Amino acid sequence: MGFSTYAFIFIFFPIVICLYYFGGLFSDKIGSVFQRYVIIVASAVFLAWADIGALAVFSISAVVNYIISLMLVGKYTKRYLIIGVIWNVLLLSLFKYCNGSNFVANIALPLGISFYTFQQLVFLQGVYKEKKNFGSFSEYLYYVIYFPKMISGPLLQYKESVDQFAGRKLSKLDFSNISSGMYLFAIGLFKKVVISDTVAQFANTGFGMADGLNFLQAWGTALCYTFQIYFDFSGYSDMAVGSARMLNIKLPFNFDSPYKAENIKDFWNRWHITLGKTLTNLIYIPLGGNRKGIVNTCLNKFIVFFISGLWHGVGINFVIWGCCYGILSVFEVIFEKTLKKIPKQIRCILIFLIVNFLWVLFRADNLHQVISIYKAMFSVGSFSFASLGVLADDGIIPFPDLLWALYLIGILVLLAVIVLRKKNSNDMYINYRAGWKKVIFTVALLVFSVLHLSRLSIFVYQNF
Amino acid sequence: MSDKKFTVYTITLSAAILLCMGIFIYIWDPCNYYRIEDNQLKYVASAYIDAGIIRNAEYDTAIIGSSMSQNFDMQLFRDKLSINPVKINTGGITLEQRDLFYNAIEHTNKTDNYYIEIALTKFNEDTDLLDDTPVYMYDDNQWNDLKYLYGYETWMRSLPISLVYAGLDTLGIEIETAHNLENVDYVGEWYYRSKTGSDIVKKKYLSGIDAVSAQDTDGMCERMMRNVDDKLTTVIDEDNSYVFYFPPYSALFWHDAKEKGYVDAYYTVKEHILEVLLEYPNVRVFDFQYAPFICDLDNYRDTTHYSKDISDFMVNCFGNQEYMVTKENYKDGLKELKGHVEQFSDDNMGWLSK
Repeated sequence: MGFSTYAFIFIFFPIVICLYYFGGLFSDKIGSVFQRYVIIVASAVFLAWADIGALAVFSISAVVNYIISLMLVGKYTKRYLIIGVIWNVLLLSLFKYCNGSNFVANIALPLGISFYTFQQLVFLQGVYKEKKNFGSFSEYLYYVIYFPKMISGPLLQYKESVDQFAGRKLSKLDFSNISSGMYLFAIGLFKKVVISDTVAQFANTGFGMADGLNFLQAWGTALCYTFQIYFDFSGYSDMAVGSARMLNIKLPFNFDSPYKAENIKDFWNRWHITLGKTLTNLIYIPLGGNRKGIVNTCLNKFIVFFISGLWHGVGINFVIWGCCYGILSVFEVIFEKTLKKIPKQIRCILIFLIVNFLWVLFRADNLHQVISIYKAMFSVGSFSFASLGVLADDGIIPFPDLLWALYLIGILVLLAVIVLRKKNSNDMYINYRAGWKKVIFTVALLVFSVLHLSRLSIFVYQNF
Repeated sequence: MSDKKFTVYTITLSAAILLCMGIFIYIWDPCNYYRIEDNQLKYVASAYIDAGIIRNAEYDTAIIGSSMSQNFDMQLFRDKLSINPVKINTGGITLEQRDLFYNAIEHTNKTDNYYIEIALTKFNEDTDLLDDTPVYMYDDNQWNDLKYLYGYETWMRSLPISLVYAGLDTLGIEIETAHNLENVDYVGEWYYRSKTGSDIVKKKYLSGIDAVSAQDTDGMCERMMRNVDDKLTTVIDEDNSYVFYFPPYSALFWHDAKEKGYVDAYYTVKEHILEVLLEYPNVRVFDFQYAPFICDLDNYRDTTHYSKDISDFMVNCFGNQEYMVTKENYKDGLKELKGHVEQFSDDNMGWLSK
């Protein structure tokens, strides 16, 4: 059960909200505990719905991490921190890199493991630094299993977690949070099921015929995936933030118009923001960050991107993808002054093209597919405009290729305008004011999104 | 406006609009899911309309197949075999789709007589996915009806297209594909908008345009045999009676398989299918694949799809039992098929070597 399902929207979440605020009828102490357990149970159901094994793995992970956290306020804290890091890395590696491998049985990747593993690493680091217990096990569970963020983030930094989850008081119904959260959720849902899932079909068609793509089709395929992954993940993040808001929890935004970035550093400050912060705190800063000269800075940046590639997926594609960003970020450090002389608009276009290019590595099933698509992207042989239509043809409506091509281009142009020129959902949320226009807008988004729910839909980042 | 009012208005308005939309779809029923009036259909995509036909049409025999079976003349079945059949088909039907349709028909208890096409190439696919099939329309879960009332396919495909067809009909504008909507009997038919002819077939073949998708040849025979053992007879119940039939692919189809190195796999698997099916007392098998006309490409529009005349011929054969195979004679048919293919290759060496 994901956010963009009938079960979540019409059954699960309404029940959770009602039960959660029902707790507000009790006294502060009882009510806050009641609310905590409502979320814990609901989150367990949310996780188990997809796979009961995922809940089992998570439970083991959470118990071990909590026990380790208790040790971090006593003696030999560094040793226990190391044990905690090794435990989490090993657990993640076991499932991530054994998934589909030959030397152990094919074990399915438990849902959310990449995210809650990192979240717990942040937690252990935070406890180690603060030398203070987070709270009871149920408070810890409340924070780490919290269903809006558990499966695909956003990742909270330690202070954000402590402020909102440890010793959390009774949460009363607040319509300003309900309405703004609903508004944001509707935006996220629309981005995911209407926009992302539409271009996903085009991208899947293109990747499915990677060997036979021509120049335009290859670029069309890459662009479709570039938009798919952005609207998929940012839509998910909006829904996570929106649903948490409706429960009076403030989660950080994960995206800030990344395709408007001027350079690679800027891109990663706008894309999956909380992962960037987490990697910075967990890896970059402990390695020395930029405090030990330019060579160490470059090396540390490369290591962070290399690990980011490994975290995102198994396979040489992801390693190459991570290394490419590592090399590019090193390049930017070395030639920073020169690069700043390039006009901003050109830098933005170049970064967009680079990111678009590298997303092919991210999406392709194997290196062969990558090479086929890259070859086609640079083979300006045949320039058949109508051939683009093949990507959009659904086989149901017998339109000519040219019409499908115009449809595809229209969608790509519209999405390019949205991501490059328009306000993002953060801006829309910050400027939210209740009114009839917002009611109609939200209703339109929700209704239109509901009509798209019956299409098969999976969050791209859920696979990590 | 207060945030509370925003919340209340948004939820109320959304619910009201969705309710109205659901009622509208129930009444308009673009896929004939709830009713078929005057035997007429509203939408052209077979996989979407078949569910409604299964539920709402009157029939005593079900014909399940791919595009090969779409041109069967239902009236001819009625005249020659005294049965009242219905066509349930979709292009490129997979074994999973076949099972889906079969189980849905069984659930209605309307028939215990089946005609089932044997789509040989589909045994080479290892998938339990039902891509592009609205599975929710074929089960008896009432909650899944919500996916029809509020589904993407309904609102973005079947509803607009059905409205366009209805509008054109009202305006008296005729379009070719409206033929498929005139009667349940015509679902999926394509003969009226497709020309056959050897020149057409040759041109498509030499351009690499094939009706059959590229075959995965790694472990092909083993995979096909396994799928035959696992999936061929999942649609056979002892209380029903069945006619399985091999549609007459052209000799060019077999020649092409020979050139690509897997025709022997096809022959082996086909023989195994026959052996398995002929063990069942409630199954009759018709094998049209060794008919001499497979060598005449004028009967085809590509390597596999044959003309309406051939479809009608097949129906006549169902009646007079020509081309029905038994345990005693099925190997003769295989031998004849191989002979036809060899002869075809020799006779057409000239253009095939281009």
